Amino acid sequence: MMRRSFVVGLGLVLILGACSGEGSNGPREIVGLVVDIQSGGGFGEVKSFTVKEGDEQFEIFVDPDVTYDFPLAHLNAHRAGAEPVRVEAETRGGKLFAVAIGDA
Amino acid sequence: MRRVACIALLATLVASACSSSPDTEDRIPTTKGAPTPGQEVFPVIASSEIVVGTNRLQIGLIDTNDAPVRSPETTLRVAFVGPGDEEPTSKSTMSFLWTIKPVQGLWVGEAFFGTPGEWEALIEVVGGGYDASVGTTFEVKQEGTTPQIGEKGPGVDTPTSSDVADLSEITTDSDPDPRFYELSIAEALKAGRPAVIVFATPKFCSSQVCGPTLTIVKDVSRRFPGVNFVHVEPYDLDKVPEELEPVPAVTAWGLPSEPWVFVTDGRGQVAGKYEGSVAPSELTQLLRSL
Repeated sequence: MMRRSFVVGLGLVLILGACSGEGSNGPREIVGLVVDIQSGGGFGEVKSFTVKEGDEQFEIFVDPDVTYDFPLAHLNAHRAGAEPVRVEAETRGGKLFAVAIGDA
Repeated sequence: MRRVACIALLATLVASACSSSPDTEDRIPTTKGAPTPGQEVFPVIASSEIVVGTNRLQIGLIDTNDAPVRSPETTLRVAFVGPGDEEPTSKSTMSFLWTIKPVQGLWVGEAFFGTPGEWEALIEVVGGGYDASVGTTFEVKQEGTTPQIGEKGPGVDTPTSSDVADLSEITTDSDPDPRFYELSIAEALKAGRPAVIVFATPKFCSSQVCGPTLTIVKDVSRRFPGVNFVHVEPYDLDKVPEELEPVPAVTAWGLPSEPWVFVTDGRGQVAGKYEGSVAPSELTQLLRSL
């Protein structure tokens, strides 16, 4: 009985440990340079933008239901000036969506 | 036997719990414009409005540490391959221009694109210690949203100093030059003189590119007493920061981003337009020619 409880307890610890780190589905931070912008046409209308973080690039989609503190019309200034951005992003349907955007 | 089954079950549970690693599901890398392994620099097309015809194209370079390259001695020889083409159909030699020396600069040059679609830029980076060949792709649209060179600029009754008690009601510039608020866009276009119209918001856009744009134009304005200058805040200052609502002039001029600088001639026709950043030398050269 003691042994069984120990094994089950160990299992729970392992599962919780595996879930608590970077492997969770919560928002993640990406910090890098804006290297591409897919415009929606109008002022500050951005469909997605690509952030280069080291050797990797991430296409991040803009959520039309989110009001960002960061003016999206300003993204191009970051691209032109090679000024990094900090993006909190979460995965939905296999795509990254920005939850928050800011200067890095 | 039970113990083995229990361990197997635990292993399965742990494996499934770990399956959504940040490098697989949560962080989805894209291969678009991915750098070639081993290349020294990474090109970034810094213009968002690229259309069929002749364009002022801006390209930035990022080094292997993700830092912007600032190298006036370096030239970009660019060959452009159109959609469906095997060989380049146009070429451009792009020179480095300081916008804010020694902080900010880009390679700028004229580039012609005959058709809309996805184009490829084959870039030779030469001089200043660089000798690299890199490439990137970009979209060319049939037409842009901002007025074309030679078109008449939209006359909009933007607020002036005579409409307000204090300039802070119409500008976020902490050191505003009253000359930039004497005329509306509509008045400047009808004045029979060249005009420079600056869409920028120094307070809400304080990056290295955006914030100093107005400062650059203000510096240049001192050398051109015969030119009218108009500064327009792109956002409705009555609503910021809660709402970032563009003012009517932004919509009328079709801006996709900010900042932008337009130069019009004595007939109110657009003679030059600069997205993101403008080098003092570029603006000075154009104004001298008008």
